[in-house]
Amino acid sequence: MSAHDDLHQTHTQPRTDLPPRQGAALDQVLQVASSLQSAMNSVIEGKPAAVRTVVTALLAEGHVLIEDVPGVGKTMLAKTLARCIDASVRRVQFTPDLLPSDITGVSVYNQDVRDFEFRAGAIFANVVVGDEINRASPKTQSALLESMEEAQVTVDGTTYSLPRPFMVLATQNPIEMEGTYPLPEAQRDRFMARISMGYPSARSEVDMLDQHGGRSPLEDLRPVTDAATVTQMIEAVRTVHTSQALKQYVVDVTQATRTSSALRLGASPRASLHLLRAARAHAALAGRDHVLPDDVQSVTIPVLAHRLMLTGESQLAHRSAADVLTDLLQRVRVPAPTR
Amino acid sequence: MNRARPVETLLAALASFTVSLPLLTLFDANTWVRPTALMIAVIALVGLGLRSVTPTAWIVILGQAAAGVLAVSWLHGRGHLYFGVLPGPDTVNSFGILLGEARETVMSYSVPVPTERGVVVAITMLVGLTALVVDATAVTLRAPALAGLGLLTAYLTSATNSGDGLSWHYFALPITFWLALLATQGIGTVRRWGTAVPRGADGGESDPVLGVAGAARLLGAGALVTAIVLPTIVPHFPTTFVADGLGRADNARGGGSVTLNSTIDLRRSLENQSQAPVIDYTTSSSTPEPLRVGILTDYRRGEWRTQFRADRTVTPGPGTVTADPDIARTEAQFTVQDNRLQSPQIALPTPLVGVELDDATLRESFTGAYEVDRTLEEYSATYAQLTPKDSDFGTEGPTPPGWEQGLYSEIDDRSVERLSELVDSVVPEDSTPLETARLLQAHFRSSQYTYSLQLPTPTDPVSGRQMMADPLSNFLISRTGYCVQFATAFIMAARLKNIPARMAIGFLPGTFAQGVYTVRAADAHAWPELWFPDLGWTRFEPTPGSRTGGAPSYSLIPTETGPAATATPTASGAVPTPTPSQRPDTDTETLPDAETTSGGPLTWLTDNLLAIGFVVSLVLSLLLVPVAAWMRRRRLRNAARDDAERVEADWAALISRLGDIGIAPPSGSTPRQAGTQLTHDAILSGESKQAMGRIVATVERARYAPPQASLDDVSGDTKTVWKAAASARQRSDRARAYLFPSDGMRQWGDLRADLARWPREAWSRLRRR
Repeated sequence: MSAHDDLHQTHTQPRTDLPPRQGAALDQVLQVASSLQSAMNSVIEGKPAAVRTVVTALLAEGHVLIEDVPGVGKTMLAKTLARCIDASVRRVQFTPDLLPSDITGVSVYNQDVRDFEFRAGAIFANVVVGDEINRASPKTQSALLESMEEAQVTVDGTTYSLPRPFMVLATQNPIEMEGTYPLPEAQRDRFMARISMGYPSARSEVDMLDQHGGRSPLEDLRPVTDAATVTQMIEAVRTVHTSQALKQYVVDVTQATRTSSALRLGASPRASLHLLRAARAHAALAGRDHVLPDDVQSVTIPVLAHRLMLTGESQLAHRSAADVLTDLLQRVRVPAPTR
Repeated sequence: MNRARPVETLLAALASFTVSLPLLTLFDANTWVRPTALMIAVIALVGLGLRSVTPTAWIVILGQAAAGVLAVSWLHGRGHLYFGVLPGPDTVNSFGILLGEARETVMSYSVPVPTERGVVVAITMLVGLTALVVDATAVTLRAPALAGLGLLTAYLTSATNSGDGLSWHYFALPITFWLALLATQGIGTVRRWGTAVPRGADGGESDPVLGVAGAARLLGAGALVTAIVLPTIVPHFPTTFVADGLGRADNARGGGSVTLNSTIDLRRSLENQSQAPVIDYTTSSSTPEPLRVGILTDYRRGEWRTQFRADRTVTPGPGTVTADPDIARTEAQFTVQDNRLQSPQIALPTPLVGVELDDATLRESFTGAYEVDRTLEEYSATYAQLTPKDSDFGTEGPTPPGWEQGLYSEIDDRSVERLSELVDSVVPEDSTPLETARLLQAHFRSSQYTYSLQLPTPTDPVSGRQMMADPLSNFLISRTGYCVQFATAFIMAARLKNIPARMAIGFLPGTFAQGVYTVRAADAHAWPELWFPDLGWTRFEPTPGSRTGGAPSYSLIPTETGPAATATPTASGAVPTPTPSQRPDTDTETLPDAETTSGGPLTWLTDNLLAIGFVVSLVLSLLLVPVAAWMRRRRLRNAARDDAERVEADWAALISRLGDIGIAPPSGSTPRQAGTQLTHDAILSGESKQAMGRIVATVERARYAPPQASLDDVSGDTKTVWKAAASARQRSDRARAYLFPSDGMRQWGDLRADLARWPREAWSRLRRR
């Protein structure tokens, strides 16, 4: 892969001809995001790809579903991100008896002012960590997901906007299915990306034992940025250029999932939108002011895999959605500008 | 799969054997068939054995070659071997002698050539070599298509030498075996591919222009059309002329011969039914002479030949007529309008007084035979028609050049006995040379002799069995033959009486129509020339009048007291035609030489126009595809409206060119992935690697960056990358990339598509109107 790296290095003066303000904003994105990543990497050993995806989703205003077996650091990842940003953080432990109002908030009667008063729920925070989301009842899940989608909460006819930036990091355990309410496919679509942590390598695990043996490294973690900066960064990411050919490519990829014979359900138009936004953030993280097909390809699997439903045959053949997507990416032609 | 490949070996051996069969038409006996068959079998079996032992091709081929050498030595070199087994220098020597003999035989005999021992050795070696080449290419190296070349070479060697058309069977047999060989190998190859060959996802062929199957169909159709059209538009090749056969027309060696056996080439010319004229000419004389082409002096073992080359440039003038100036003569004009006789041969009446040959050079041999350096369509000459009296045929005077060396006096020993019997019975002891010639001519023209192109095999009068003698004796017994036999017998008889005599070959005057004489191949003729001191070489005509018309008047025996020779040449059909010829003085030789040979480069150009045209068109056709590719790239680049499109064009051209040398990015790859892959595959490093990086970055920005970004020119970088990539490939890959770039093929494909679309569009436009 050295050739690949070299090719990247030859392209180090990307923004000389940009408006200075956009250039400065993107420089800030690059700088802050890399310090954010390095801070997170210091806690989450050996999972730079997962960290990168989380930061990408943060910059793309997306929510992340972390799905894996217990004890691999799902919650740790979510908490690390929350800790690194100087912003309001709420953590909700989902249980079967959790009520929707616990999430959204509730109007209570205030004796002093003789009126109903809104008590904000757990969702009113910049970063919301939803632990074991599949343990809550479908009704509660729906409440969370609706507010995720709209970035606002309506209680008793009054609409309350959620703070910016707003990001939900939900974790889910695919193994212990007893007494759980797995997220339906339609609900999963609301998450921009899904991450499977996977077990750390032996070496990373040893390092982790070293560091976490004494006390939690989370306690040493200092915030590297704040909510306002993140909002600025999100704004800057929105300015990243996407050419017509690239939009065509994004659509080609999602359409390929719809026509693939290995898939029962393809990606939705919302998936196309998420894919484009994630690619934009990915390009900004690489310090570029325009999106390349390579950006799209790098984020395709985390963005699309959890939305797809395999056919019975593919499942019998032990193919995963990621395998199918890898095949599709090799087949979809990268559109060149036509004249 | 059997590594020895017995089926293919058998097919290759059969092909080699059948391709040697046309040799049956070239040689008079079939003694060569058995050794060659043995040779082919040896090579096939040794190949079979070695292939089953070793997969290394060159070991197999070397083994076969060694076995072939051993086989030839055992077959033909017995008595020259070490310990009776191994060939050594002695063997090589003996083979050298044998092959020299074979060469001599093949050079001097026309078809069919007597099958001497040397000839058999040569055939065995050549067929063995063919078999080795065919077996090596078709079976050992598994390239049966290539073996077709070897087979074709062997076939053409026979076909071009036979002089006649070969029967189609001779071609059909080897070609059948060769096709079977191709099929066997092809089926084997397909089987080795195995089963599951997945097709691409899109199912179709990847070649956008034609596809393999399409190209093959097009090629097949083209070949078929060519095979049908070409023979129909090529009307009728000129006939094989008399002299081509007579002299074997080998300018390079100058030797020439005509055999007097039953199958000489002159007979083939005489039997030629072609009405194609060889020469059209007009003449001022009402009694035209035969046209002389060549002179043969030596008769040996039944064949005529000459040992002299026409090596001196001459310009004939009045001085070249050697006859005594007192002898009555008239000058006649001879003008050729259309000549198809190939150089160096030229048909001229004799003796020449002057000649007009354009810029061609006339050369003369020691005997006075003429040659030209290039084929003339038109030429003219002035010649003398002598009308000698009896008194002009004196016996005192100069002898012809070369007489002292025995040039015109040699007689075939085998027929001398029979000949002297005849001469003694026809010519009285004390006859003068003129009387002798007249009597002999009258004898041969008498009804005792039959003119026929079919030479009968004489039967022994006692036993009734067929007897084979030398050709001249055959003629004297059967008294049947054609001009060659008559002339030979006459010459030998004259030589027996000590008169210098030689054979002239050429054409009879031909048929007269509308003021023009037309000479055809069937007008070929041979006649004797006798030397008389005052006259020089003088023509006689022993061939019967049914063929030749009247003999010259001086050669007829005077019937009454009146001297026949005084008759005016125009009064009777019999025309006196002494044909003295003499070589010019040596000192006149140099001047015309300097004049006529100063052709310079311009003549060379015009002479080789066809070859030059062929080479030029070959080069042009080779350039068709590269130039189309260059034009396409240039057009696309020039059509770019902005930097981005120009960069795209450069990128597309680079990808296409790298594809030509077998380096292609995976389908569906982004520019960056393509760049990485190409860098890896083309082994780019250093400057070229950085150039590739710059190209990729520019392409990315051209495609995906905001439009206002200005872009660098990458044409320099693409050149760097292309050079680096091409230099790392094999030369054959590079040559293919330069000669057949896919861009060029695509350009031609587009042109074809445009041409195909044009009528449809024109039609629809017409209908709309």
